[in-house]
Amino acid sequence: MKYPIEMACIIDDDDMYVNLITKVLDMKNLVKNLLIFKNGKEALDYFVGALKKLEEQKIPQVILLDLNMPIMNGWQFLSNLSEYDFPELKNSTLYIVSSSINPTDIERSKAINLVTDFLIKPVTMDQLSEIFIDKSA
Amino acid sequence: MLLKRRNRFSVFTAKKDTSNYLNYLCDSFRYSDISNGTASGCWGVDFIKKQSHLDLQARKLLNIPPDYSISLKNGYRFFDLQDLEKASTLFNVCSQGESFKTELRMRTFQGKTFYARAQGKAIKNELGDIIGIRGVFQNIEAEKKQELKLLKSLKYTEEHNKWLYQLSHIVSHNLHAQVCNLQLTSKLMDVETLTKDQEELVTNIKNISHNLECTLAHLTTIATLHNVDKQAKYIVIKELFQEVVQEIKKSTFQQRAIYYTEFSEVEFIKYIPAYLKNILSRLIINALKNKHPERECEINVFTYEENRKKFLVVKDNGIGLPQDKIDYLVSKTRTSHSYVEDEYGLGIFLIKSQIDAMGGSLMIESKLGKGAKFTVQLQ
Repeated sequence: MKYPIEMACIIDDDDMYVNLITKVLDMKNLVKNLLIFKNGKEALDYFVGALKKLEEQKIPQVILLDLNMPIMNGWQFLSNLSEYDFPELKNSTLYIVSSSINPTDIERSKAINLVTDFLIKPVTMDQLSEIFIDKSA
Repeated sequence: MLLKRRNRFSVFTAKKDTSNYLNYLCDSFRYSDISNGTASGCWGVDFIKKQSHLDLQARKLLNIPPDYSISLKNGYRFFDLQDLEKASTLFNVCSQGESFKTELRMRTFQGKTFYARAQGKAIKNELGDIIGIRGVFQNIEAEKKQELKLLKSLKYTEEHNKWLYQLSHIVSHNLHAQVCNLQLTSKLMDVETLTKDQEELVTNIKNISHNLECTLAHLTTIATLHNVDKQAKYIVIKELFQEVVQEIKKSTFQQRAIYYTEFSEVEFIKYIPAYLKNILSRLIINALKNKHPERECEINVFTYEENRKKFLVVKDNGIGLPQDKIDYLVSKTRTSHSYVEDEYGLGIFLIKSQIDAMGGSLMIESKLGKGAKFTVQLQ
């Protein structure tokens, strides 16, 4: 079966949300491999490990990042990852997907190069399809 | 003679004729009356005679025993240690010819601290040389205590308010996350495989999650609006409109519409940016939500100027709203009405309070089944 995206990842501590998004992605066959990280730290360790070994095939093409998480939140993850300045990350699209209603969060995200867009939860099924299909196009 | 009079800090003149004497009595009565009533006393330093002076009321305020004579050397004891340096600086500045007016902590003879308002100025002779300084001080302990109490309570209120805003942010954020999951779950449910009864229940869940989302959106608006920068800035209306439409398109609220805009008459306006954005965004969302089911949603957004007043209009071809609802929306008394069931509800109430706060007004016109027109008088 052909999937629009080979590998994507969700960085979010909300199990129910992760479960629901996984269901939608499965139902619509939008991605072949989906990685799930429960906080920024887990994700950062994975990314830094893969990028240092130049295992590009292990870098997700689409990244859905939550902001409010324990241990390491979304902002800290972005700031840590930005410091490495990995050129390989240019092939990935990163979306902040947050239930944050704070307009300053949206403004703040605009200043970060790694961030493609800020999506406010709930993300609709159509939005998800658009993100994955646009990326593969 | 003038020099002599000033040196003695005396009020009456050299010539003691009857009328002057009466004036003196009158003045001295007024003085003692005022000084008693306001708890103020006079002080002075004569540089020529090298003498310090406190009048009776001042001695009373400081509780000084009758036999105690005051000098520059022992004057420091009447100031609280924390303000001693300040008092000494002011004394020096005043000796150079500058006046002062300040608040500082003083001490009575027995060492009891009180807040005083003090002022002083230099005294010059005919040649303009500084020959002394004098002034008044007033016990403002009660007033100051009240002021400090008020300041403390204001600080507490501010902190409490801040805490409440933070709380409302956290609560709405956490609720939002749950509502999102509920919405997504209900969307994923396959109603076709369910029995009639079960289908009804699932529909209920969908409605509940929709209503929760509405209430939460209102809560969100309130939580964010009070936290905005209240500085009025020049806003290019066309740019703001584009920004608002982009944001609506990105939100979960998906409704196609054809927009007609015209901003040439009033291209920009000085307004609180967050307010104008909320006003425009709410009005457009209202128009989208109240779309007529049988025709394409068309929204006219334009500005105009009339009698030096600037107006912003959002007009739609939706289902419109009845007169009693318009009356209700623009009236100030709103009590037992549920906003949740109402697509116009709280949103209009909120933008109306913002428009009012900026000194403008909101007019609503509508024909049922034809559409609605919201005219905002901005300034």
